[in-house]
Amino acid sequence: MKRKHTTTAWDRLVAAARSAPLDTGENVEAPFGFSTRVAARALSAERAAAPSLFVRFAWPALGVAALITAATVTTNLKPVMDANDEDVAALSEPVVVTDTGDVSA
Amino acid sequence: MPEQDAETFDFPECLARVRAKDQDAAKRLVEQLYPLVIRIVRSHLPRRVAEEDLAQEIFLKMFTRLEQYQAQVPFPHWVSRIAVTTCIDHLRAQKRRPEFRMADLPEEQADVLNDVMTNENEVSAGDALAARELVFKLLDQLKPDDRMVLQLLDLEQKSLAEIKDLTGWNTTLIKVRAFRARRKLQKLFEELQSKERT
Repeated sequence: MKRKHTTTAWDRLVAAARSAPLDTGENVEAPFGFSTRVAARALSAERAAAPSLFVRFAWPALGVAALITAATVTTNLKPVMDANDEDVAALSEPVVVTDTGDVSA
Repeated sequence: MPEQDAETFDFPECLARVRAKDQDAAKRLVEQLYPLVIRIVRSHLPRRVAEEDLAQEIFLKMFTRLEQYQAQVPFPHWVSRIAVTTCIDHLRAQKRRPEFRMADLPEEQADVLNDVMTNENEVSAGDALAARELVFKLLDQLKPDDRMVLQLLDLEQKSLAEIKDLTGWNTTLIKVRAFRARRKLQKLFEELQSKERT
């Protein structure tokens, strides 16, 4: 029966607490300047939250940049590869060794 | 400017003006809803949080989320839910809950606690304020969500439907939280009684 007793203790305590005068806030007015300050902050925060030009154009600009990069690579890939092949071919040619001779010998 | 009665205040018209960035309408909306918000804030005010700061935070949230308001419930009900959930967030943010010790209680509150634990007499009307203080100290021992449910159910005597509207929790969850909270309090009372005996 402990449970019943304890529940009753809480019930009686809370019943007593309910009889205490409660600040309902019904006749409370906002402190002087409160509503003006809050309204100003709220509306200015909304304005600040609006996306800036940078944010608005950042993603499209990134897309355009990616396209330009892809086009550049596609256009220039063949000439670059050809030039590279020429370099490799030049490297594979025999190297002329010039005997400078050992003068001291 | 004194607030109009909530029933006569034209919320749709005022909200339309606020959405059109009319600062005067925003100011009137805050003035109109201040009593409602401050009543919730005072009922659930976490320790060490200034009521004006909390009220301001609630109003700023209200303005930020204004576009989400679909007029499915009256606007003051929608704001009440923001107020309650903001209070719960602040309660959750308090990592440590003060330890409840009989020895730390003022004499009046200790007497009230003894009365409710040991005898069947009603607590006298003169001790109502002490009982209220004591209830809040006991509620402080609970998890924020459990505390909110028990306060709304037992202290403010709100119905399950009203609590559901205020918190957004379903009825089963509210009942589970109330059960859990009462069990924790029961355990606390038992501990206090055993300490009293020793």
